[in-house]
Amino acid sequence: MEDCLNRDQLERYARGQLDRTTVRHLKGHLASCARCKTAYDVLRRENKFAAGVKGILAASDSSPTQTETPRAFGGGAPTSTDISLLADESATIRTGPRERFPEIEGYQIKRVVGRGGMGVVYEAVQQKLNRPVALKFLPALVSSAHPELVTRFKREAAAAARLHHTNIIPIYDFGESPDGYYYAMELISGQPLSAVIKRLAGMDIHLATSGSLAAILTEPDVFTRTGAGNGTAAGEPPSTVSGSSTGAKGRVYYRQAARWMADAAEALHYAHLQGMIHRDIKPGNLMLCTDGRIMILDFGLVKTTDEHSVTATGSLVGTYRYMSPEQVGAKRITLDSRTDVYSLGATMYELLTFQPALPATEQSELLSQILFKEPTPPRKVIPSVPVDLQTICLKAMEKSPSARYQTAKAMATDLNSYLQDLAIVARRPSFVRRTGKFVRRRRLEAITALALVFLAVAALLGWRYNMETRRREIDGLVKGGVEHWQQYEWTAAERDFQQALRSDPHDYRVLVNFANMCGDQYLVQKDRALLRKEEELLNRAIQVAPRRKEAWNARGVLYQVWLRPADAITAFEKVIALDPNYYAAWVNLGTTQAVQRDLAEAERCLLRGTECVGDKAEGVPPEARPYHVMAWRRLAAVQIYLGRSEAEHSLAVARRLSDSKDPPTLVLSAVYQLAQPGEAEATEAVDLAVSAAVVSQPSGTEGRDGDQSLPRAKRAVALGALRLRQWERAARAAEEALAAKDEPSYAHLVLAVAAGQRGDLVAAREHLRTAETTWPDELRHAPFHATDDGKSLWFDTAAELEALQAEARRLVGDASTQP
Amino acid sequence: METTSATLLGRVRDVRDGDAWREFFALYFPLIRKYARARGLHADDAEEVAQECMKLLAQHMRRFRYSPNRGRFRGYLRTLVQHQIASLWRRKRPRQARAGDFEAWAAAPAPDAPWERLWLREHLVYCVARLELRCADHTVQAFRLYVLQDWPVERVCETLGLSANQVYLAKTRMIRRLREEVTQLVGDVL
Repeated sequence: MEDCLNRDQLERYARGQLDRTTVRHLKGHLASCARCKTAYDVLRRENKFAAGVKGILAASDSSPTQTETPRAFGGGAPTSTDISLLADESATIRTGPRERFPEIEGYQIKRVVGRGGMGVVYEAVQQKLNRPVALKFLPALVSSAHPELVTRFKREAAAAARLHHTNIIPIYDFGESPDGYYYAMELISGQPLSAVIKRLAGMDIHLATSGSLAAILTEPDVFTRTGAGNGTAAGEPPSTVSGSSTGAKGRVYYRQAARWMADAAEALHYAHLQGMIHRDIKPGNLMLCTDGRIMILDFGLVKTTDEHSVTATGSLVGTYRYMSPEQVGAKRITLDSRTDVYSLGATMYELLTFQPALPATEQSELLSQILFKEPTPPRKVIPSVPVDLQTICLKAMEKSPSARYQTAKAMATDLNSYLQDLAIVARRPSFVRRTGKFVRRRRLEAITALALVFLAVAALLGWRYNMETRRREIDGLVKGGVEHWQQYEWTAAERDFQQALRSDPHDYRVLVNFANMCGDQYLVQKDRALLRKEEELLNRAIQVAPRRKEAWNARGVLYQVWLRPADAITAFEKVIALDPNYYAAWVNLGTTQAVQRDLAEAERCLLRGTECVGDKAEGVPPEARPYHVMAWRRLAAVQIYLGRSEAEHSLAVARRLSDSKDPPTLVLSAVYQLAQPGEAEATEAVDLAVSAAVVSQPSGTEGRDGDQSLPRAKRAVALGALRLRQWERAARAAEEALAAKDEPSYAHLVLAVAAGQRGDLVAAREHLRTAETTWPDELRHAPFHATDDGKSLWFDTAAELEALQAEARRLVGDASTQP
Repeated sequence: METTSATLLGRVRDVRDGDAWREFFALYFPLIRKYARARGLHADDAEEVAQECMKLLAQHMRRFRYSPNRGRFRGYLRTLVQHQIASLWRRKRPRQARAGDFEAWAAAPAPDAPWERLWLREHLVYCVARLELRCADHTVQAFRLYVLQDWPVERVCETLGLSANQVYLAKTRMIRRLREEVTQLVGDVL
């Protein structure tokens, strides 16, 4: 036992510090002595643990920083900032001082200009053409680990390469090298809008008074001057911004912002037409070039309409903050171009207010805000934001895709209108629902047409069935039903239709006519159950004959009445797909677009409608003629509002087709004349309006067929008389308009002006005040209000009211009253 | 095996225990920051991520129920950090990272090696630091020099004025206690 080993010997043995003979001796002893063997095993375990600790802490012992040593432990604890331990995984993403540039044939890489998780962007020279390019590169290291990234990378390049547009960054070339995949694009110098916004936000302008805000915003150089003039992709922001004051209330800036957005919207529309949705529009992806252009970058998440596999339909890619509700909420919903409209709207919001539209900082909160929270109106954030831009922005950001601009083009159009100081097409969000009362009435005319068509068809259909008797019975019931319906005898009509359906539950004519009757009954009784009933009947009809247009058209009208314009548009488009020359679908579609404020689309559709109708009266059955007039008249209304000279021709055709006996056409003609300068035109307007009033049916039937011609004719007389300085006549016409239930603010303003001109300031003030309290809600925040009363499309404009108001105020010498 | 110190987590839930929070902070702040760096963030951003996470932890620890069978703090924290990194990327570097990339990254095959390594190392660092506070100075020094620095025993004795046996004893004691601590905190991994 005296041979037993002491701790010192064991330690030294374990450390290999002993000479050969001693080791041999020790080994022999360990083999034979259980006690020493145990002691040695304990030591070995100890040492193994120590080695583990040492290995893990190894990099730490050289720690140069004391700052991160936990204070609580008095310093000296081994810590480290060295991350070389982990370099293997992340080297491709991190900036490293000893970075090796990849080798790509034909390119000379100069430096790194940006990095993303997916790869690196280099500045390079394309040697063959000796031109500078930005080279986006996906390292082989990354791609071998994530093959799906290669697919996406290639797709991004291919998608972007298909686009040729001034405001979309062009792709020159793409390919692969042993080091990885790449594509080359134009090297642009500038800065992303996110940087612009950040810089402006950093100036605290949202807290500043409007005056100082203007001072900063109207500094014209701020947005065109970037620090890096040597062709870097991410330009440095200018170091200082001087506060010299030019222009008023940031108008220069807002116009600039509108210009950027308009260009971006046009470019997006172009991409959409190519079948590509960007899906990741945000300030960071809109590059403001040093030459002032705006460029859309990163078609990385682009989904082409002909390719579905790579990015799962509902998967969450893109940047949450700018994602549309359908994008974050999408399960299997197919996203369409309207998602980009939303994202552009959210971007615009930030340009207007320098803060995100939705303030959440937590992801889950943000998601819920995207889905449910309406953004604070920009003017509540910064009061000097132009109303029009706010309207455009909020319309683009509507939660429901169908309430947004339906195309990026439509948004561009509104932005351009703002830039040209034209009235814009967007409506305030709350407005959509209110227009309902006008829309509802439009229906009778369209429906009546349907009823007539179906009576004609009924005879034809009869032959196709063997059961002549039953046919004849059903024919009789349909005829009776329609007659009762036309007399508003709902119960009797329903009885007939129900009986017909009992004979044949799948009779298309019966189903459609019955459905249409329900729609009309709804207009009178306002019972929503009727709409559901109508929908159900139409669905049955569509099931019976899915390729017949009438039920689809009726369904469009139904959804219009039901205030579901998007569904209405879909239905009308379906009709057009079935029969591209069916004028009713074009006219209905155009009308819906107009009420939806897409005037460009409205004009296009109505033009198609009138093309289908033709401008000849010959060969048109007398009962069809009113519908042809209706088509031309609606086109004229849009054209008048848009200031098109073609309106004159459209009106002429409508008057010719109607033998100048159609009140709405006459009223529109008067409106057209009033829009022209000159006394002769005003006289002409009054004459037209007077004849319109004469042929108009007196009010009282208004509730039934919705014709507003009489009050509008009176209004036109009043306005014309005012132009002719016939104050008495103007006042009288205004009173008559009031009596005919015209929009009271017009009449009161006319009365105010007339009274003022006659020196009766008390009466003038009184009327002015009344006018201001009865100001139409729809026109408080929007430049126009398009309505459809079943006879004609009608535009009330804020400009007209405001001009009258200004005149009245001038006369009473009082500018203090506010609308 | 995975048993982040229930005691520490338990104590942290008691907000009045300022020391516990300081300890917690000292352990997890550097861990998160280093992980963020390892994930490619710049120093400032990594700092920000760590701060943000600590802020959230401060709010959430109160509600965090430690349950050895159910959730693991390690996994919980990793998810939290990843979300913060992703959100910082989205917020601050819109041109450098896309949510899509993050997704690919987040979907990368587990286990997350850098996280595992950092997790172990930082806990070890923490344990060593804790032990050093509680053990006699010469014990700590002997351990450091003899075990961690691999000094010959003679030199350690000479430097610290200890006998060889005292050095060995210090080694054994320190290693035993360290093993206990580490096992309790991160499991029997060494």
